[in-house]
Amino acid sequence: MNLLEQIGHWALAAPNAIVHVSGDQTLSYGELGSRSDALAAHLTERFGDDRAPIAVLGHREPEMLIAFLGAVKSRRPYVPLDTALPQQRIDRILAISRPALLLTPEDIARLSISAARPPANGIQRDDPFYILFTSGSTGEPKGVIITLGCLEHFVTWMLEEHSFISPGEMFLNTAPFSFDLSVMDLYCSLATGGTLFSISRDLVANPKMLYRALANSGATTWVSTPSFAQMCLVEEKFAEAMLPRMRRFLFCGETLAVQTAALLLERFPRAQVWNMYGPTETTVATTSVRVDHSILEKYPALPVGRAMPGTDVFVVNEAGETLPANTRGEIVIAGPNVSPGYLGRPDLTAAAFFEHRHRRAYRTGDQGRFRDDILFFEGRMDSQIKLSGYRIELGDVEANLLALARVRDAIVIPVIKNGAPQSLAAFVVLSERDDASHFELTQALRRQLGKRLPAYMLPRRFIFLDALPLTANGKADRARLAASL
Amino acid sequence: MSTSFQEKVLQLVASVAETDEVRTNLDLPLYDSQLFDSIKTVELMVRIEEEFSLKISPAEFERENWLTPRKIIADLERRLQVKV
Repeated sequence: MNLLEQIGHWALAAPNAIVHVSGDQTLSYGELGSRSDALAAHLTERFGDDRAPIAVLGHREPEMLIAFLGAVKSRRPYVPLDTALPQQRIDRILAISRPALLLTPEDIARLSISAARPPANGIQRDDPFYILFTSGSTGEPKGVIITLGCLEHFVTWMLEEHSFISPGEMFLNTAPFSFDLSVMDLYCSLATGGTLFSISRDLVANPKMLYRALANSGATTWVSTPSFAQMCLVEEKFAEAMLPRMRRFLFCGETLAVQTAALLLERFPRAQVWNMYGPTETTVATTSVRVDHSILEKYPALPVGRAMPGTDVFVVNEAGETLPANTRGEIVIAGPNVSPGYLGRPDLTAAAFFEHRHRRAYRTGDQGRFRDDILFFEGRMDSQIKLSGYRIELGDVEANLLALARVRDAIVIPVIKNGAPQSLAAFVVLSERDDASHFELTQALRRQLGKRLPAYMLPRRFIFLDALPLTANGKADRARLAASL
Repeated sequence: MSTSFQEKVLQLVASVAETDEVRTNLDLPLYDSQLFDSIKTVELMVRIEEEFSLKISPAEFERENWLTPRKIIADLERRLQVKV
């Protein structure tokens, strides 16, 4: 039984069970099954053998799930897009992915299900399942192709590692569907007949409503970046009494601090805390470790765990040779969860992906080391950073800044607090300057840049210079700029 | 409340918002200018607790009370008076 059949099983076994809750909207497994079948039939009839992707633009609406499954049931991958993305970024992604169709929740709501005849499920393991866009170092987003086989390998591991009750779990969905962390809650939920409880932007913006929603969620499995949990923990009532059914916290996307894990174990004594690691290119997460009191006592910086079965993770030197334990090097991942590459970018694909013993392998650009047979993540080898779990190439921000009128030169540096990037600072050389105050200029640049980049990529601080300081080699002196922050 | 109290609050707000503009423009709309979001709000709550030993519950927090630096000062004054 492939993943789609596994999901489809719940439409027959429990058609009235709720698959998704988002605000006051709910969707049942029966509706998800019949409406995604109808969409798949519609797409097959309209586009025939054209397997171009289907772009889906929305924000946590139940119709997005219908669109995702409808697309893949018709053997077309989907490209999830969040409405928080600025139009120019969406346009770039659409230009790169060239979808057959851009669907919104309103389009799906209008679709008639009367002619629902499910197309034959001919999906193959090598078929692209979704294409997820991440920040690219040159200012162009990169589309990571994830196949059905990649996703199945990931979901199978998750189901083996965690004893999810099937059905009956309530998975918390905190990440937008355009962020691959959401793949964890979405497909673990769908495969086990669980319910996905989405936390929308509006809730996050209003803490009072957020805690009320959490208290009413009945959530059993928490999936988020550590930053989100850290924010929730500031409220003392965020504890077992608020979420009495909570059994596990699953973290991925950025470094999990010891204090966050310790506080969660204290406030939720019956729940497990898991730390996971993996780039989008290897399908959400590849390693994991349960963080218990013994791990907390032993390691001042938490490990990211052991590799999923069937996948190898190794640490290599510059020559690509595997390094012994306790030696820092680049993390390489090889296995069925590794993406076939970037959409329409054979150059980038060739630079990062290769064959290793007849399996796809990916050079992560992450640094790490093995200690006690457990992997530890130790930062990046390049200028990619993570802010609240979001992956950002500093070059992407710089290229988009340089595209603005009046910006002659720009360097973007992360502001580090407590050892982790907290925000971005932009050092900018303008070609001309008017009487605007520093604050007015900053706001104007943020506004202009906000039309090109998502909010999480916008620098908070702008420092205006007459010229960038240069190194002896004539390159911008990033170290000097960073030291000045 | 004293000027030094106001100054301390503004210092914290400026540090969290990462701009000194909040010191000179007390009516600056913090959320509308995207200087504040939920993470920044919670960060300020933590800083206020460290500085003034004043605990603010995010679950009972009304965003309307912190829309501008002036409103934050007024809200904190009220909370501290109640506490005293």
